[in-house]
Amino acid sequence: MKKDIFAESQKLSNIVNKIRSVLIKHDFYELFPPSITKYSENLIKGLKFADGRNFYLLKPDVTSWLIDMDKVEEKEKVFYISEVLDENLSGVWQFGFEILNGEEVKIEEEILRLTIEILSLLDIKNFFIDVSSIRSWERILKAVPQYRDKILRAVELRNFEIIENLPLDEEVKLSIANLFNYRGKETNIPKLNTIIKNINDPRIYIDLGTMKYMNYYEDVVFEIYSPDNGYLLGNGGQYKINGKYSCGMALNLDIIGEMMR
Amino acid sequence: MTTISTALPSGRLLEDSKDFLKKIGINVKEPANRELISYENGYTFYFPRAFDVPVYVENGVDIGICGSDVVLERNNEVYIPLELPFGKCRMSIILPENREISFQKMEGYKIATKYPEITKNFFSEKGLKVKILKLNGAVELAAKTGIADAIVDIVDTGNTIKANNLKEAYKIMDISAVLLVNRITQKTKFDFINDLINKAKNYKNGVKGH
Repeated sequence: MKKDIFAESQKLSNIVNKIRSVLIKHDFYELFPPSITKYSENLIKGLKFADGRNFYLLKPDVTSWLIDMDKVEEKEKVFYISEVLDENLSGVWQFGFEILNGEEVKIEEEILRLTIEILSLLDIKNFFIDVSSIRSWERILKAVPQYRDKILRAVELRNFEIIENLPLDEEVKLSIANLFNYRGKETNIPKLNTIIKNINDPRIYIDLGTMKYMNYYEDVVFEIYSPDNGYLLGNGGQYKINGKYSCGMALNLDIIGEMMR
Repeated sequence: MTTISTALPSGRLLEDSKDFLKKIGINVKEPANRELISYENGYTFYFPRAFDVPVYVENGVDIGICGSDVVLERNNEVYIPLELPFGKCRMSIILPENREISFQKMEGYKIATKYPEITKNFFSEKGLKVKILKLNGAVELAAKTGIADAIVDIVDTGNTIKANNLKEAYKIMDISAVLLVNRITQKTKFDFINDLINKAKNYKNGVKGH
C-alpha cells in the first residue's frame, strides 16, 4: 500500500512552518540549493551519476555544497529544506540553518539558542544537546599521526580496547581516555565553557567523545538527541567558507516527525 | 529506576551471553513458552535472530550482544565498546579438500557465503574481482554441488567442513562476541553504560588471567 503522501506532507509542512517562523523572526532567509551539482570530492553524501561527459551528485549535503561554492562575502543567515540522499538512494529530509561569516563563539551560541527555541515551539522538551571540540582531539592525533585512523575508529565505536592495544605511551592513552569519557558542564577548553555558561540550559552538556565525522567541521560540534528516540534529532558545528567563520545546525525532519507523533 | 532493554542473540551465542551477563550481575530470564520477550529486575530482554541484533540496537534497544561477523556484515550505526570473552571463531575461505590454490589466484571465482559484504570487501581490498552468491545457510552445500568454487564462512571446530570434504584454506579474520550500545543510550544512560563496560572489562581480564 502506498503511503498517504498528503497526510505525510501535511505533517512535514506543519513542522517546517513552525521552524520557518522562528528563523524568519530572527532575520534568516530561505536558501534554495540545487538538486544536482557537479561532482566534487569535497561534497558529502548525494547520489553520484554521470551523463557520459561529467560526474554529478544528486541531492548532496547542503553545508558541504555551500563550502564548495566558496562565495561568502557578507554575513548571511540562511535556512534550507532539502532531502539529502545517500548512495543507496535512501533520503533524509533536513532542515538546516546556518550563519555564515559571523563572530566566533557568538554564532555557535546563536545557533544553539535557536535550536532550543525551535524544539520548544515544536513541544519537544525532553532533549539534550552535546557540545564537543574537534581541536581537543586534533592535538593528540597530530602527536601520533601513524595511529590517527585507528584512534578515530576507536572514537567512532567508543571502543577503548582499540586504544589500549596500540603501542602508545601511557600518557597519550591517559589523555585519550580523559577525552573519551568526559561528559559534564566544564572542561579545560575555554570556548566550550563560555558557550555552556552563556546558554545556561540544563540540557546542554560537554561530551568530548562526540566527534563529528563530516570532514569540514573545524572545532565546535553539536549533537541533539532525546531519551525518547534512538536516533539523533540533528547535528551541526562550526566550519569556514573561504576563510569566513560559519556555523550551522541540521535538524532531521523524519526523526522530529516521529517525536511529535 | 532506569530500565534497560537488551537484545540477546537466539542461537549458539545465547547460553554464553546469559552466563556472561550473570557474571556481571544481570540475570536473564528465559521467555515463557514461545514468547520473544522477558522482563527481570528493570531489564527487558528481546531474543531476535543473531543477525538482527545490531538492527534492534541501532533502532532504540539500549544494548545487545552478537558476533563481530554480524556487526561487520550489517554495518549498523551502533557503538561497539567491547569484545567479549566468548564466541571465538574465525571467518575463512573454504575450498574442496582436493583443490590447491592461494586466494590471490581466485580472480573470477564464484564464492558462496552468508556474508556478501565482508566477502566483497575482503576481495576488493586485495584487488580481486569475484562473483558472490548470497546464501542463507548450509553454504558447504554450494561447494559440494559445485555451484560455487569456494565458500566464505565461520569456522569453529572445523568438524562441519571436514564432514563435507572441505578444508579451511585462508583465515580472513578472527571473530568474537561483542557488546553493542545504542548511540543515544551511551549519552542518556552514560553512568550505567560506563559501569557495565567496566564490569565487563574486569570480568574479561579475570578470565584472561586464569
